[in-house]
Amino acid sequence: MTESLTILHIGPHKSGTTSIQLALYRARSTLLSQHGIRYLTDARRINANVAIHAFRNRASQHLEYGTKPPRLFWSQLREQVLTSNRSVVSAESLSRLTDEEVTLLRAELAGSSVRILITMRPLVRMVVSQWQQIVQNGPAPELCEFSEGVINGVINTPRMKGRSEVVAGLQYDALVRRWSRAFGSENLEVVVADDANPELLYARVADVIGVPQAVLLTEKTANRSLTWPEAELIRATFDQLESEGALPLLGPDRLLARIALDLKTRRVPPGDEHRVKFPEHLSLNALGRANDFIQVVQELGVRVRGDLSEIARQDGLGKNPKVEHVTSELAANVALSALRAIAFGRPISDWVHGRGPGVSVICRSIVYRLLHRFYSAIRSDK
Amino acid sequence: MDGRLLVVHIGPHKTGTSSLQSLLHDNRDRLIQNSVQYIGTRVNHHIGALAFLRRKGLDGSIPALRHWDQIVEEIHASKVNICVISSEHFSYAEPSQIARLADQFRSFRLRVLISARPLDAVLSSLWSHLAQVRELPDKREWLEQVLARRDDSDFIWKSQQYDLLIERWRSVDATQAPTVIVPTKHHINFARLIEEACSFPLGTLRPANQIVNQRLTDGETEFSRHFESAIRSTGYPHGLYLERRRISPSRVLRRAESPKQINIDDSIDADLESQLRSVNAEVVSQLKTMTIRWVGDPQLLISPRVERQDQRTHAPTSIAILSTEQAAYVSARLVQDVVLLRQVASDRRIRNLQDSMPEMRSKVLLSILALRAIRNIRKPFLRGSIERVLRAANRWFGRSRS
Repeated sequence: MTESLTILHIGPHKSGTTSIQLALYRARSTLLSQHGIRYLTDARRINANVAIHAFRNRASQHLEYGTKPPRLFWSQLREQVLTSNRSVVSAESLSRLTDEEVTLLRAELAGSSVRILITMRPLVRMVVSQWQQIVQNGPAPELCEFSEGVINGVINTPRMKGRSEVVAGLQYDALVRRWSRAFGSENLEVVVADDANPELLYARVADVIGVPQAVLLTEKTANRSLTWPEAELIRATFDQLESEGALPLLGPDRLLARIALDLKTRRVPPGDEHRVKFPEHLSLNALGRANDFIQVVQELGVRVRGDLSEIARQDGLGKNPKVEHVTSELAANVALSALRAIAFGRPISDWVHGRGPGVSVICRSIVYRLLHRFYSAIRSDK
Repeated sequence: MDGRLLVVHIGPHKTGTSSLQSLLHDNRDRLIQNSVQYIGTRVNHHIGALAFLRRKGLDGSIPALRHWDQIVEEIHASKVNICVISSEHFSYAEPSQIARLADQFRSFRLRVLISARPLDAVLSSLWSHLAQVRELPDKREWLEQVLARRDDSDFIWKSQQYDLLIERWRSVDATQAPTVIVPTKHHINFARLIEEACSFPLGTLRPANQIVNQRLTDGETEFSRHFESAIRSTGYPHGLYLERRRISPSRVLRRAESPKQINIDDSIDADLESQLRSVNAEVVSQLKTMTIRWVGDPQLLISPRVERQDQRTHAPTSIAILSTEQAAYVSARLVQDVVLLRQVASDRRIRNLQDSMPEMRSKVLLSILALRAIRNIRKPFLRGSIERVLRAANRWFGRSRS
């Protein structure tokens, strides 16, 4: 019997992970039956983030498991990894692991040979995407403030406090060093996405896993990004809610993130609406950071698929004007999205099918148990 | 005959009617002391007027005739010198209905009171008002449509063309000269004008220093309009219509604490404006030849031409804009309103449950008695379970069984 081999896809965030995970999840039966590869996830989810949270003993934003997921999630995943010949695990939260945690992970997975897959996009795009994600989820810093914090590692402004993990997650050179120290740089592989040709990303990931490219080709799940006025208006809305002290009231079930989702699916922005641009004045710093990363990768001799210089590519630079006025059409749509999100939205989770066992199933089982108890009581009475 | 005076204020819409009505409504006590009665208990007499004219209200149905009969009864029964009723809907009355109204109040001296504002201002406000309650095109298009169908049969022109409106009502006025009041923006002056128009003793009305039913700016109206059309396109559940009405953005925008727009230029393009002004001038020149009792300055009906072309720096009205602060405020407010509404609803559910507890207890007691009665049935397995239920019930009521 050959030794088990695991491919860990560690993200980082906003590098096209969700689409890769979805492709892997959809192809999981083909992967298993034709290639003997198991795609391991948390139950009913497309990735293994909860298991990694359990491994770290950290709170998860996915509340269906409570604030801290039980250790069981991790031990199950670990067992599956160790017992299967070939497996793939994908979790962005792996990119947030500290040095000690990576070493610990190496020790826990000692029975298996591990290859690490890192996906990358142009750095400035990743920063902007990360900012948009934060904007969607609640009160957020300004884009300039955020980019500066991320690129220069400054987190002293009030809005950036408590985001040290986000900032640390964006230190990609440190990420590569950390993982290569624990697993060896020969086991690392960097895949660079090509924004002009997104399908190449699937093809390259398929290459890394060792399956034909056609396996991972699924229909595209286009998820448009917010435009600049949309992002600023949503940010202002959250600020307003926060200033009125309404945010804890609305709770942690992430209904608020529905506002942006609803807006993105419902509204078609006019073609001339301003796109979110990476702040011009930080372009040099960003270039420096991207080159740091490239240098580290070359220095360590990490294998790269795709064009590494893409990471330093800087398109979409510019100034974002201050949004003092918005069109009434946009305002109306954001208001409606807010209303729909709160009044009719379902809590967000990345369950694959709906939200776990439905109410009807639970009711049915309770009724069944009661009836069973009743009949057995009658029997024993006789 | 020198009967008592009945003042019928007939609007029309958007001519300062809400502030007139709320001024009268707020001063009911002071009016009574001066032998003046503002009939009814509501701010206006819309429901009665709609019932009398057989017109549909906002909810799409015609109110019952008894609403009007109540008003008539109250007026006849009152012992004061002056009675006042007010509704904009009277301006839509047909000549036969006007005659019937006069007939119902034969024993009174009738005074017809019409409030008037420059037509161009009124139509802009009317668009803003209507766009909040029904589907309308944008302001420019709507104004063009309205101008194109200028005709007595059209419901807007029927009420807004003052010369024709006055002619229709002239015959029922006791002096044959209907009173036209031209409102001013100044609260106290406006109160004095109403006193003069209705022959109240001077100083009866005390104005509250607040703006009633302030019109929304064009940006705000556009916001409301887009919201309505967006909500229609998403197929909003019909059952929630009422709930939505309670939490619509235009309501939020009108709240006092909502951030207000300043320095927004709501002008329309020059050619449309000049068309409106010429229609207005025509109407005003007609009015000047008629026998009318004027209260206020008729000159105010010709709105001064403001040279705006050179200072218009941004935002033509076709792209109506809203300040980000205001937009964010509305979204945040809507979210909180929904949460609040839910809390109220769940509180009510809990209260209902608590209210029904005694009833539930009595039901449980009754069924226990019934079970006791049938416990002698000769079916051993049933008897066993009845015993068990009774034991559980006794435990629930805190009684121990001997």
